[in-house]
Amino acid sequence: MKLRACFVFLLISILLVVSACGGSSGANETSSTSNAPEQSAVEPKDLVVAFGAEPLTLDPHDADDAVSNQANNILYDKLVTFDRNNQIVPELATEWKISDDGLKMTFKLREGVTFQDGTPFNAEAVKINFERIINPDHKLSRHSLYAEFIDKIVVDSEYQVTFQFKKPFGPAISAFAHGAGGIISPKAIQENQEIAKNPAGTGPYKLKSWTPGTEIVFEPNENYWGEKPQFKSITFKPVPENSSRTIMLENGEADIIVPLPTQDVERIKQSDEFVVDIAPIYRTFHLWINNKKPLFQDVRVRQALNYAVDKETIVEKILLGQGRVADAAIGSTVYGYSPVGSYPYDPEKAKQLLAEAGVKPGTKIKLWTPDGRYMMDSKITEFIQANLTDVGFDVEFQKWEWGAYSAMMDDPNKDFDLMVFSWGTSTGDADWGLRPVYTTDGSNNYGKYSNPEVDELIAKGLASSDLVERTKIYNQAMSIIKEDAPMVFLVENTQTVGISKKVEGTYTLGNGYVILRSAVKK
Amino acid sequence: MVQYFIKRMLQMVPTIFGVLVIVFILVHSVPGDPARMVAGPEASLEEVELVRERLGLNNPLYVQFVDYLLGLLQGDLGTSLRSGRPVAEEILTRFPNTLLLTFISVIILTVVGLFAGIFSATKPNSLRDNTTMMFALFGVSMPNFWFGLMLILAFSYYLPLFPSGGNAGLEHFVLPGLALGLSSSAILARLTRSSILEVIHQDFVRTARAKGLKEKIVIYKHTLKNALIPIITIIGLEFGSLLGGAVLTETVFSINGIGRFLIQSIQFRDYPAVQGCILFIAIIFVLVNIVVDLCYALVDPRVRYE
Repeated sequence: MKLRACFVFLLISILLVVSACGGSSGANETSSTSNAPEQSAVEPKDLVVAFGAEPLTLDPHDADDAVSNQANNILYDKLVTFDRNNQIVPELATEWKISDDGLKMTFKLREGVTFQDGTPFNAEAVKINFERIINPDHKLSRHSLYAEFIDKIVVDSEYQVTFQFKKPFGPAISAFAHGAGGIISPKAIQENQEIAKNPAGTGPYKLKSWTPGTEIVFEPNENYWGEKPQFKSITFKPVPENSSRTIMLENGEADIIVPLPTQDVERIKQSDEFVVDIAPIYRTFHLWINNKKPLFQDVRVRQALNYAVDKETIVEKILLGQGRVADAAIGSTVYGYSPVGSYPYDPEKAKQLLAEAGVKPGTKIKLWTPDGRYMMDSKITEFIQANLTDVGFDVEFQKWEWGAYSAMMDDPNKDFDLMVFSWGTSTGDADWGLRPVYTTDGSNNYGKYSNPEVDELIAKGLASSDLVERTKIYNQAMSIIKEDAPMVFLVENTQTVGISKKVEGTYTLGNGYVILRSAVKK
Repeated sequence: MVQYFIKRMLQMVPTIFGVLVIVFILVHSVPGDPARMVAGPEASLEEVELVRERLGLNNPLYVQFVDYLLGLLQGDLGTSLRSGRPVAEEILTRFPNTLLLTFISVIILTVVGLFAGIFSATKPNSLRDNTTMMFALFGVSMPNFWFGLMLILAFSYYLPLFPSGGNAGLEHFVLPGLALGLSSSAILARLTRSSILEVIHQDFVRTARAKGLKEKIVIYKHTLKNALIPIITIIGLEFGSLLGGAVLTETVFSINGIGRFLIQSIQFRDYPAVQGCILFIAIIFVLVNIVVDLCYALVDPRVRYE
């Protein structure tokens, strides 16, 4: 009797396995539809994008991870946005102007736009949105981005709105172009809807479904005010494993993968089915020096460290060309950037400077890196270890798990010597690339760098609203920073995206977003 | 039997409480600050402090623990720091994927492992025994995630039969199921072989053969049945541990299961999610163990629970 039960169990088991395998033919069909040549050229297609992670929230005012911002970018419009050259252009606002004292910014708004839930877009909607962000009670994570400078929002007419500032604030327009400035339906805000899961914007796509951890699907917003959405659906899939992401691109399960892992770039490049888009982004990757330590208080030592590191080789051999030797404290796509030059690789000069500063060969320094957080982080640091050993340091190298590493940055007792760290100028404006990191009371000045002249210049740049003037001021500040060498300037990062040749019209912005709005699929 | 079952269920309470205390202490003593992780590396110290307050991380540890226990008693596993969703919801959306993967793997493991073991044991030290055991050795020594990648390469890349990852349909579970099932079936095959060989020389088997029973009946009815206890133990253990999530396999195949969720939560220092996952896994493990013990009584009448 029991033996028979055993057999029945086995039989069911086998049946299940067979049915599982049978199911595969279905899979084949679905995956081959995305592969197969299209039935007609006009019919809209489905687009599948594989990311390394999944969005955490669809509330643009509360999102600070890249994939959430990426999703919010197709759900919401902002007043202004970045074009493919990272220049600021109109979106929901048609024009804007700033008052002479720099204390007021007025936007004329686009007419005839409606939100995905049917609510009309107008000046009142803009007011409700920014009042939501700047109200500290809402505890939104992008609160300080706007609360820092917006004092009051005034509705001038149905389609005109004026922001009154607390102080002249040069980077204001960049802040409005930031993803956090996405305009949510005022109805959703007032009814206290859970926007993180139920977005309602004016963007070209709206949320269709979201299976956490599996996929998030967007469908076209038929009432979109701009160019009609081109896809039947856009699906984001979280695929954390690097090689799996590449395989998904290669066998047609995904049309776009972000990021394309470094080691696969050459192979994908050689195939004629895919393109590799390597775009510079706002992020810079530097070796941070603890300027407070006696050893590093001598500028010659800090400069020597800069001469000692072979940045060209890091870019070419370790990053395989995905990056650029940093020639300023901020990335080249950042608003207000201008090059100030980089330290050439010159170990002899480094040795000479160290000797002048009285640093004895064999001096111990600690070198810390996270492992796997940034592209090739620990590999680059290992290489730097060799560079620094060459000029006479005794380098103690340590890899950290990211959670512990990021806690270490806040811990005053940890007292690092040298640590690699990446700074993303998230607003895309030079102010945010410099003020937190290089001013004496900068919120993220982990290197404890201080130069009153630099402080003054950065403050001047903040108060000016003329981009030409600001660029000049920042150039001056960055030249001084370069001479002071408060960190070892390494690399301007890139975002590497793998794209099927069937997809055209995507581009990557300085903030790393792959813009899908104008894409088409053949 | 019923009494035994109730007794075991009651014994579960202190076990689970112990797990809770240990996990709570461990999770909170790992270096790393969830507030920093939530705020992001580019947030200022003040912003991190605000987040810490919002998450209640400034309270003393025992207050946090009591709060957590009170929540648990009301069936509340807390809210994930990473996604802001209830941890229970996060776990329950992922568990079906892990469950399906477990079933498929255990079926493959059982079928392949048992038959390979019997196949070997019935002709010990023959060519077929040696070949089978060589494969088994290969299977035991091969890491699951590597085997998974090889399967993807073979059946998804070169021979596009199955999708390389995801968990949208049954077909997505075939390759990961094979990766897990085949590599653990190797252990089962070796165990079945030795277990059968132990029994096969006993007097009752000789008696059965002497009675002139067919070899099939001797093997399947008399020998295998008496060799089943260690086999059930292994299958049960495997079932329990797979239900806790096969971290690497789930990651390689982008399956949104418990294991991958747990790892992501640990990396993010998502305390409530880590605690919730481990609690959930512990309960499942204890339950599976009870079921395994009950199975012993089913296959061996000498085992009684009274």
